[in-house]
Amino acid sequence: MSDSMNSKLEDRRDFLKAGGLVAGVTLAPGLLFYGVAQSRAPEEGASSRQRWGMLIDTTKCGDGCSDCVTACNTENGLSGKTGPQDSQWIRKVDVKDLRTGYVQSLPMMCQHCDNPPCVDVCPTGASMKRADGIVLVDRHACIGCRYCMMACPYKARSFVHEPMHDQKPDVPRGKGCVESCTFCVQRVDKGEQPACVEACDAKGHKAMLFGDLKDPQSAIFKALKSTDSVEVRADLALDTGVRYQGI
Amino acid sequence: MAHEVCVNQGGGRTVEFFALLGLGGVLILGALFAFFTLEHHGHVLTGMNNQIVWGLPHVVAVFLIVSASGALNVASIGSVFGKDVYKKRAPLSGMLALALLSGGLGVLVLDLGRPDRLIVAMTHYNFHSIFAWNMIFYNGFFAIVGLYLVTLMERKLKYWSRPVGFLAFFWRLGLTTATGSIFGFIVARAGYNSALMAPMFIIMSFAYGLAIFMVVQASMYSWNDLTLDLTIRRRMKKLLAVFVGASLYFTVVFHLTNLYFAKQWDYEQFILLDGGIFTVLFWVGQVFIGAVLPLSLLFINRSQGEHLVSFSVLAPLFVVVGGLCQMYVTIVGGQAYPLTLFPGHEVRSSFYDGVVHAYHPGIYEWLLGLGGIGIAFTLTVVAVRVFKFLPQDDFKPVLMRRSTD
Amino acid sequence: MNAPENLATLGSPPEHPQGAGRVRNAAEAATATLGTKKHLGRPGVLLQRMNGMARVANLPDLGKWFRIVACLGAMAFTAIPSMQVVAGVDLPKLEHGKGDKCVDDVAFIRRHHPDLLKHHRDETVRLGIRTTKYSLKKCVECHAGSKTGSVASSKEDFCVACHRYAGAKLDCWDCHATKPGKQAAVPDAKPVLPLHGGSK
Repeated sequence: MSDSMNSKLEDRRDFLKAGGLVAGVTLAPGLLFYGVAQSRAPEEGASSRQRWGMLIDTTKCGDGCSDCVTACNTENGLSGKTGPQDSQWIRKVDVKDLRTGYVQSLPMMCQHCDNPPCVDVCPTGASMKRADGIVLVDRHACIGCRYCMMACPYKARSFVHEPMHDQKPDVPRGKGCVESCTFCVQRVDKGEQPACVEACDAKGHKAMLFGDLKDPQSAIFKALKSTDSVEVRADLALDTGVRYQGI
Repeated sequence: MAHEVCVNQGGGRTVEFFALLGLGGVLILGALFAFFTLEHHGHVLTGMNNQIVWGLPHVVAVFLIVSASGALNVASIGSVFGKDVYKKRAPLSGMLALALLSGGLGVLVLDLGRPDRLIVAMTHYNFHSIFAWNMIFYNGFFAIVGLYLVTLMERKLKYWSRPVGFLAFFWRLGLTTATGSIFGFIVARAGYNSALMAPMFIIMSFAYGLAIFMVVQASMYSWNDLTLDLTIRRRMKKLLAVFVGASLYFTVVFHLTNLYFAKQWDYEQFILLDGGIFTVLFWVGQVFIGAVLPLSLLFINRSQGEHLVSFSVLAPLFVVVGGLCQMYVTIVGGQAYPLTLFPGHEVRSSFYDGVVHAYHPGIYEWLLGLGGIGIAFTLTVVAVRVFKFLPQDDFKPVLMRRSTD
Repeated sequence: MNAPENLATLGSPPEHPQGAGRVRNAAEAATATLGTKKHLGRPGVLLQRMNGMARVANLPDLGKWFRIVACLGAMAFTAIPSMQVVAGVDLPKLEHGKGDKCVDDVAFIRRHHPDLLKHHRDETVRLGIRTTKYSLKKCVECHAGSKTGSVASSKEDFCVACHRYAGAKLDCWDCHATKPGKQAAVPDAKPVLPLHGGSK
């Protein structure tokens, strides 16, 4: 039936992908990670056959390094200011174990939950999860009630308090709406990595791994299969797309 | 019909009436000024930020909305439970409910980041969202209570006042359940996330609504140089005492439950001991002014004769002040306490993780909040002037005692 | 009103001798206010006492013709601004966009661009469909003014000129960039591995 056809198609795709990966390794090792995110035709929408996710290795994350934050601000046109009313899509959090005093540093952003509380509570449906698992705010429907900010367990969302100008063409942002990390959806749809991941790799830390959680050939799938990883606030059973190892 | 429902009560005091109208008008103008300023410059001018996302306007708004459904309770006791004294007060109670809800919703709408998109909120519903359900409950409340008022005030439709009163009663229970659940359904925050929120909001709405009703009723009687029958005053005082006591009970159970859960200890320590303004507002505002003080006033046996201050006005006023404090502690206090990202760990970041968030309401928040009260006040003043809302107790005191006990 | 005095009034029980002079309860009070001891449902008495509402119906005699003329006058007055539109006065002079022609017939775009943009935005935001034909970003890339480099910075800029003329408010530019991106002229970077997720 169609199932078997799908699986054949997927097999073929996986084969091509694996081939491409090998080619990527041999031809352009420095740019390999571009290939991990899979591009698609523009007229083709996001598909539920994919689920974008991220694995963050906190042991590799540099203490005091905030290149991911800077890259995010540059890519998405954020000011980089850190006042109480300024937007921060990604932030470095220092986590200290109260009993042992052990300190770790890790990036924290929208965890792109499979059961996102922000989507549940949004009265107009502006807060939404795309078919491929990316959680977004549809600013055309956001009325600025900020209930999603109340509901988010990760404090991932920011409210735009001031009128905006000189936005990035790919990243519309405006006063009165709520916003958060989009996994750099404008890049992912082109087959690129989120800006933070790229910056982390460029720095040589390679603490962030981005990819398709449903693709058995993807690096993130394999990494998750071979290492122990946790969700932040796993007790809430939100099935986050961002997972951490080393904490 | 007009001559039956439209009576110019206290017709002589035109100057005072317009003075009151002016007062309400000034408050509303202030809110509109704040609204247009924020619409232009953004919420950057307020004390609200990415940590305290709901501030003073929401405190007032939720208080007014909760009080609205509580004010309708007086009518429900009449229509649903058949108490004659309350039946006579049903029109006033319904009108007050509508006025208070208008005030509360007014503030909520004026504080939206994109108020120009209100039409989106009214046409796109996400039925997973308790907030969307609230919008349906609010709109339905206007329709049902409006209809209820018509059945109460038009003799030909009197037969319908009971079934519509039932509908209004259950609708208001749903409404307050939904309002409480706005907070109860927030899984992530230590201060919310409790099934107790909904029933606690209902019992608090009984107290706040009745308190506001008693203050308005007393003002109306005094305006018309009337004296409310002592028996009725005593009955309402007792009822208020029951509601205030029950609210206090729920508050105690809520915090006791939290004290039993180790993971909630830090939050409880914050609210009960070292939360600064929130601790003060909890103990002094919510508990003492909002419960202990009115309860003692309501139970004091006063000597016969005229008194300078009527406790049946003073006690409800304290309940209202306590109610506002309670909302501040619940709404702002719940956000001021930081989210727990990693239990057993201390967190620090540029985004204010792990620190108690400061909130300093600015002038625009005050204007918006007072504007909400202004809307409710103005609507009440006009309605009471134009329509026949003064309770009409046309029965003998002896009969009354029998019918209410 | 004098609060303490009124509160005192409220505090005094009706049985009290001093309260006897005052009106006992609301029913009596309402009748007393109306200046009659009779039952409330007497329209004649009430109408006499009502001020304001009833009088609205008895406005000073405006002649029928006067009223008609007044209405017509008001309509004409409100129509004055649109007269210029009908006459084609001050039609906005729009700068020609880049390239030879628009993505579709100009008349069609002129009439339907709001719907096209709205449809496209929903498909892009919600479904992730990234076609460029009707995308706002592409509109901006072609129509940014030569002076300002923007579609909405000055009165002459493409979007603003027309929307000002038509009196239709725009909120696109609250969030969207009014200028093309720096890399706009360059075609989108191809992924290193040209692999497609779908059938293409």
